[in-house]
Amino acid sequence: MLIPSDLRIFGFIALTLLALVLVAWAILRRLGLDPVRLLDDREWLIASKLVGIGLLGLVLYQAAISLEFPAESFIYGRF
Amino acid sequence: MTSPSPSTTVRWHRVIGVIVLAALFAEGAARLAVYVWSGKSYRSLSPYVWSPYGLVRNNPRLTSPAFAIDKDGFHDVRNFSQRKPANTLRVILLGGSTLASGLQGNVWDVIPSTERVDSRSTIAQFLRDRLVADPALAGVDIEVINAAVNFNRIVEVSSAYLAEYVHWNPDFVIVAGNSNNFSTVMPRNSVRRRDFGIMTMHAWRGEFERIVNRNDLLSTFDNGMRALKDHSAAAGLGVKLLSKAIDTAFGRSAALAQRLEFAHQSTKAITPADWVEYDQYVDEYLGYARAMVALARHHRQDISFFWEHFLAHIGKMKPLTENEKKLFEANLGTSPELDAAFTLHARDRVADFCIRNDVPFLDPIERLKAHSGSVFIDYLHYTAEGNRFMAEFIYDQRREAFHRRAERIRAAGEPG
Repeated sequence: MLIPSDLRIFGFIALTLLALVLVAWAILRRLGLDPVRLLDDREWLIASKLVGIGLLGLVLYQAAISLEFPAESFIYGRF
Repeated sequence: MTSPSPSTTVRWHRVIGVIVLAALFAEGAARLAVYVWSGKSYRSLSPYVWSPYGLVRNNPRLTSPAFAIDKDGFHDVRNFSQRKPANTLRVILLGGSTLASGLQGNVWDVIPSTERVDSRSTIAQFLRDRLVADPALAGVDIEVINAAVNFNRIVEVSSAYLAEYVHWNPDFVIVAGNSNNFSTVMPRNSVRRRDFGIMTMHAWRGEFERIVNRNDLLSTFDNGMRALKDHSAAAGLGVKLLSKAIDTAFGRSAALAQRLEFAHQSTKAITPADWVEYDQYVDEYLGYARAMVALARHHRQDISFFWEHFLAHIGKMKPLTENEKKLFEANLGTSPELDAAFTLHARDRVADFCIRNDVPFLDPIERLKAHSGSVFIDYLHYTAEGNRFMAEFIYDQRREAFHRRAERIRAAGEPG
């Protein structure tokens, strides 16, 4: 169960990440580098698929653990 | 903004390079976020490590704004050495989440602003402060070690003490954690089935088997992920968030299935065990307690047992604060009278065991009945004020024993 402190932590981290991405993007543009042009459309698609496969693997892994050891068994968190 | 027209061949070095750069960027951002959140560099978000003695210990590498775990897994901001320094009176506290300033259950639904009690404000630190302030203990160094681990039962507490903590040479051993052994009504035939409380496998034992003993795909992948999480803040945070999201999704699915009556719902009321059967269960606890008392005596360590009460069981005895009233009403459960009857029966048996064996039994119930201040932060655990209250109680109960031991320590340290 997500508790308010979890939401605060993850919200804070998500905002930090977003802010850093925007700052880095602005700096690169200022330096005359356009990150979008690092790859062409097909390469961006391949990179997205690779990252997506990795994330899917992670979700499956975590789901397998959650199925094997349901959260309610671990009132103080998983090992 | 337009992308360049696709080239005929994929520039794999660029694709991999962009992914690596993105990962490094995420790692930097995650580390920065963890530092701002906790005030510490990222080391690990895993709360526990395995131990051969008592299953688990607190993870000394844990990164947390509230909890500080020392190099040996104790809840404290300072380190201790196993070899007790000369002229030192050492107290060790053994037990579960009550000593470890745990915080669990529906507390955030009832009082959303609740914050964790940090590792500077557990019973151990307040007891140390109280002992240091005692003029009768002047000239003797004081150490109070908080060796509690969440959800430790007497099985784990006794294993840890018998195999390890006895050799830290404490002068005083205070055993808590009864709430992880006695909390609810015991259903009939539980002893025959061995499916209740300390008769069952610890919940973390299954994870231990998967991570340590099994060699299947999930186990292998899990070991890799655990190593990655301990070296990458992005991985640690990502997996933490993912596991919470998936647990929440499974929880909501289960609730939905119940509501739609897809899942089997037992409507059979629990038939409680009779006292003869429940006494067999309590006897199992007392077997472990007896072993601890025997070893403590063998090593001339003063051992006592501290009793943790559930708010639901004593809420009508203690004058409650407004927050405690809300928590009491929200945590009555389905059978509060039966739960209280079973738990207090166990308390009486443990107290009787202590009396028969000349072991101090520290039950704060009388003190709680006269205390209108804040003690409970949730259904069981203590606020910072509650931790101080319990430390004062323990000090008052054992004051003469502390003084006597200090005299012996001083005498042993005197030259000639």
